Amino acid sequence: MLTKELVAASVEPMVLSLLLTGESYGYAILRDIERISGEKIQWTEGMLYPVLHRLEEQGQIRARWKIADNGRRRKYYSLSPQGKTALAELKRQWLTVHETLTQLWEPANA
Amino acid sequence: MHELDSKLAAWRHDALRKLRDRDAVDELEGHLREILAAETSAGHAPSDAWERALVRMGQPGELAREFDKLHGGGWIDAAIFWSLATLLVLVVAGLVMPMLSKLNDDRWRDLLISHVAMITIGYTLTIAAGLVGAHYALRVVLAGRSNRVLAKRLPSAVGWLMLVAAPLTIVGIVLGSIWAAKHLGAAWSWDAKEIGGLIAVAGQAAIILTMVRGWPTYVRMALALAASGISLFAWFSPALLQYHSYGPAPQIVLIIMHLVAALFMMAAVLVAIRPRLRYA
Repeated sequence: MLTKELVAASVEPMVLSLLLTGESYGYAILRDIERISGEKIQWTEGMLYPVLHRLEEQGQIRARWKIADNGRRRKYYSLSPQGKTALAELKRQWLTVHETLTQLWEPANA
Repeated sequence: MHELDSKLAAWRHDALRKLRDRDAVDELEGHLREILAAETSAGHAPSDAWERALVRMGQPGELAREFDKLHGGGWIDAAIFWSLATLLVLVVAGLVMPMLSKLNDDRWRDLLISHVAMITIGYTLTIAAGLVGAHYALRVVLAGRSNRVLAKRLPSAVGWLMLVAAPLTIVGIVLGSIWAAKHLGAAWSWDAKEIGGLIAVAGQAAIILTMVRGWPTYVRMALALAASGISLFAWFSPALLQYHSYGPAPQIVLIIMHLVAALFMMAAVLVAIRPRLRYA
């Protein structure tokens, strides 16, 4: 299990990365992250929805209500151009951390 | 299913009260329904599915706390709050204290001093509620929108101020009537200060009604601004008409009347921009 701090820090890049593949909604985002992480990452609704609303207020994602297959209204989120720019920056930062740690953990450095 | 529907309705009612964001509650309710559908199709009984869904989803209070973390008070809130609080202290210190100092004459003592004290506290709290309303209105205008914290904490503050102000104002009016019956020969004469007092109490009662009925935030804040204006008018306009033997100079009263007009204008602006507020 990941620490709470690491999970919290990774929510934004994960949500933005997931929405890069197409629009989605809260329930599906949670399920997709669980599936992709092999159930190693399990977000709570109380963590996801405030982040979605903050990203929407910041203009990084857009939201629109649609009628789902079950006949109920469902709020779908999609990535905005601003969100794509923010994701590129986040990706650069996370890759820097990843590459640095990878080098540090290579056998020669270990 | 009927059992789940009634539980969902109760959950929604609680969530609306705690989050004060219909859009978010609609979305969370949709999510809750998705979890329930998944749990029941996995073979869980409705009551079991409900318990499991709530464990996943969290209670409305827990969700509201998570949403509240999104919005800090911010420098605008602090600046507006302290400016308005300072203004209120200056108004009370500069205008009310000289009035009270004139109450040393024996004929003003006893009932009348109690009446003045009660009315002073009742009106001051109502004006404070109006300043909280002004804080909300200015924040909405300056920042372009409300937020969940403003939509919850400020109306709550206004409501509590009124729960204290209304009884004090009513008792103050009653004491004034008893004094008037003893010294002026009639308990009630429908003069400007008496009518003003009644209208101020009506404004306070209207704000309490918005609490009881759970009306939207902007309604309570607009009423707080209006009630504040009414209280200022009821308090100081009799001085212009010489109904009180004490009171500030007419020039100061005219300045206060401009403030009253500004408060009513802010209430009107708040009502006018309401459709643009997400959290109201």
